[in-house]
Amino acid sequence: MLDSVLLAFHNLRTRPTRAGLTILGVVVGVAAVAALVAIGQGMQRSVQEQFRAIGYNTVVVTPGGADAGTSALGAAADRFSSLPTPVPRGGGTGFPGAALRRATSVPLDRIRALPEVVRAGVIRTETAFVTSPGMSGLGVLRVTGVSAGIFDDFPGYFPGFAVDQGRGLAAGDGRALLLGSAVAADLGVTVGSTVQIEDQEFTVVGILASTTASGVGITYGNLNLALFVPIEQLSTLFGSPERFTLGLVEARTGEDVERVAEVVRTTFTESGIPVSAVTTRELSARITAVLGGMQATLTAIAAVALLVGAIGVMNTMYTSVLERTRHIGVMKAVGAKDRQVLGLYLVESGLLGLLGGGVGVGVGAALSGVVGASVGRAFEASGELASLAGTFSPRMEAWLVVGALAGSFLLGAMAGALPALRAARLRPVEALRHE
Amino acid sequence: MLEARGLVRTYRLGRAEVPALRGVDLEISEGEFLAIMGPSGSGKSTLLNLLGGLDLPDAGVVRYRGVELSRQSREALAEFRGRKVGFVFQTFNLIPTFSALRNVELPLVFQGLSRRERRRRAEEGLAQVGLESRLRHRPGELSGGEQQRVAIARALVADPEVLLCDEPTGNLDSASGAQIMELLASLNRERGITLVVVTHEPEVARLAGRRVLMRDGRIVSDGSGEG
Ligand SMILES: Nc1ncnc2c1ncn2[C@@H]1O[C@H](COP(=O)(O)OP(=O)(O)OP(=O)(O)O)[C@@H](O)[C@H]1O
Ligand SMILES: [Mg+2]
Repeated sequence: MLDSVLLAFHNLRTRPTRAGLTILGVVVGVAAVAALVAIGQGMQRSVQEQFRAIGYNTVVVTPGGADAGTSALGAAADRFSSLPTPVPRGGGTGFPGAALRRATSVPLDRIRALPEVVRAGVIRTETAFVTSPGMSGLGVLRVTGVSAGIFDDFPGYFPGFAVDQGRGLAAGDGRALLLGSAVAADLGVTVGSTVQIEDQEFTVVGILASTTASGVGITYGNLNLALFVPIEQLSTLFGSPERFTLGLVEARTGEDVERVAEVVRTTFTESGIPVSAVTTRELSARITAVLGGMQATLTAIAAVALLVGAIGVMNTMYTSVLERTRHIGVMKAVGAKDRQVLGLYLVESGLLGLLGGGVGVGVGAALSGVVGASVGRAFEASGELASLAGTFSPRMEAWLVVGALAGSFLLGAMAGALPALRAARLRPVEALRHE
Repeated sequence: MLEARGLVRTYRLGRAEVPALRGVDLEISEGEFLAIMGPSGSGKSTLLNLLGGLDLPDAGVVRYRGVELSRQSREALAEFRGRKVGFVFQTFNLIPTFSALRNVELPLVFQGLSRRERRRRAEEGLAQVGLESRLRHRPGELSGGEQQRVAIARALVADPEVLLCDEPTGNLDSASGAQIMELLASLNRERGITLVVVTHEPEVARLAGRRVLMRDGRIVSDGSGEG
């Protein structure tokens, strides 16, 4: 075996340019696949980490109850892509249907009172006209109403949340406003300043620390751009106290979270608000599945490059079998068995694959790093999509490296199988007469 | 020891059939030095290849110590070529990218011998043909006569019983040709190795104890007489 490897190396060295080009062909394919898998792996990982931060005991509630979970996934996917949730401005869009006329307001207190629930919170997002004395004109910004205590109760949902100046929102706050650092700068306000949202004046009670942490998956987008007010204030501004964007309910440890989700759903329904309630585990699984599907598609496309590399190996091996036909004849004349010749060529083509794989994994790691960093920067610069930046932290895991190396050796060997078989089956006399 | 009976070998070139051997009977005894002569195209190389198991006949049999080569598996045939016979070709057939030492080692690689043992025997073999100072040279850096001596060392390294040589001096000037023939003849004389040499040169044939003349795929004379 060692002898075959040495012999194969020897043979490759006699045609360094050809071997190099063949290896390059494999490098491209392996690098593309490895980079994509690494990026995909990084995405899945960051999503999972965020879910872990929120906790798997949590039930995620989203409005609309058509199919439990589907719309929650849709909402989560919206959040994931971080596009503004399409919430119509202003209130008054009541729910149709007789049963829904009873709708009053989000039954947060009833949920909190459930024995199987530890804590619960709800947020509502609206787009509003916002202006301040420090700025000319007015902007249309996303305003988020939050239930009291949500930042403490669900810190995992707000990665990077920290009050820098002033204080956070407190129970009983009226028209209080907690601003992200970027928004505060844009509005030109400090703690104690007044900001006008629609027709109401709010007082800035606190400003958040600037953060690079960015929520992905279902977590809050970019805190630097956030305007938080007590959720009741949105009812005052826009009416429709039954409207909300997302509810978070943490089940008591030991409770069956699935069942708690059912109870939460029923509680909302009884208040006339159709919702879907899904466990974070379920949500995580679905998002991971979606990401996995995306990754599989991309990888399949990249695999075409791999196929081209394999064809290159095959071509090179056919050429060298042809070129070295006489040598094969000599080897057979001095006692080489078919399987020994076969082994020799398989090792040689496998080695081409392996060398390509080795370099390819390195290039792939570098590539995924560069792509991750530049895509991250691009998203950060785009502001609105900044929350995506965190997703692109590629992960080149040990199994990926080992798998890529073993895979590319196998790929090379497989590509070389036909030429090797041809070499092995050559009749010694015919091989010796070649040329 | 090596026996051919009714050997027929016909090559097919597209539609055309080229009869190379038309029924050859030959018996070679252990320790014999046999020269095969005959005009170009008379089937000498074809016969030699069949005797060494490099090719198989269309009809007839080759027996080595009573064992019929055509009935052997490809694997057993490879084993036979590797251990029982050594080939020496007109064009040397050395691997050009290998050093002399590696070329001589090659048969032992396929026998799975240890690196150390291979090296030892290859060095010894090259010393026997007077090339102990050329171990690291590649074929291209050696003279024709030296290359043929490397090929002989390679043919001998597995300690075969028969040496089959197809015009071993055909590509050499007469001086180095004579040296090569002297080397081969001494192997036959001193080691008792069975030697079969295909040749066009009467001086070469004269060294042999027995001369076989071929014409048109048949043996037309066989004896120790005038050749
Ligand atoms: N592989 C082959 N395919 C077709 N014809 C062949 C093949 N090998 C040999 N022949 C033909 O068979 C005949 C015998 O060839 P062979 O090589 O045995 O002759 P030879 O006596 O060794 O001749 P030379 O002295 O020129 O080497 C020739 O006519 C040759 O052209
Ligand atoms: Mg010939």
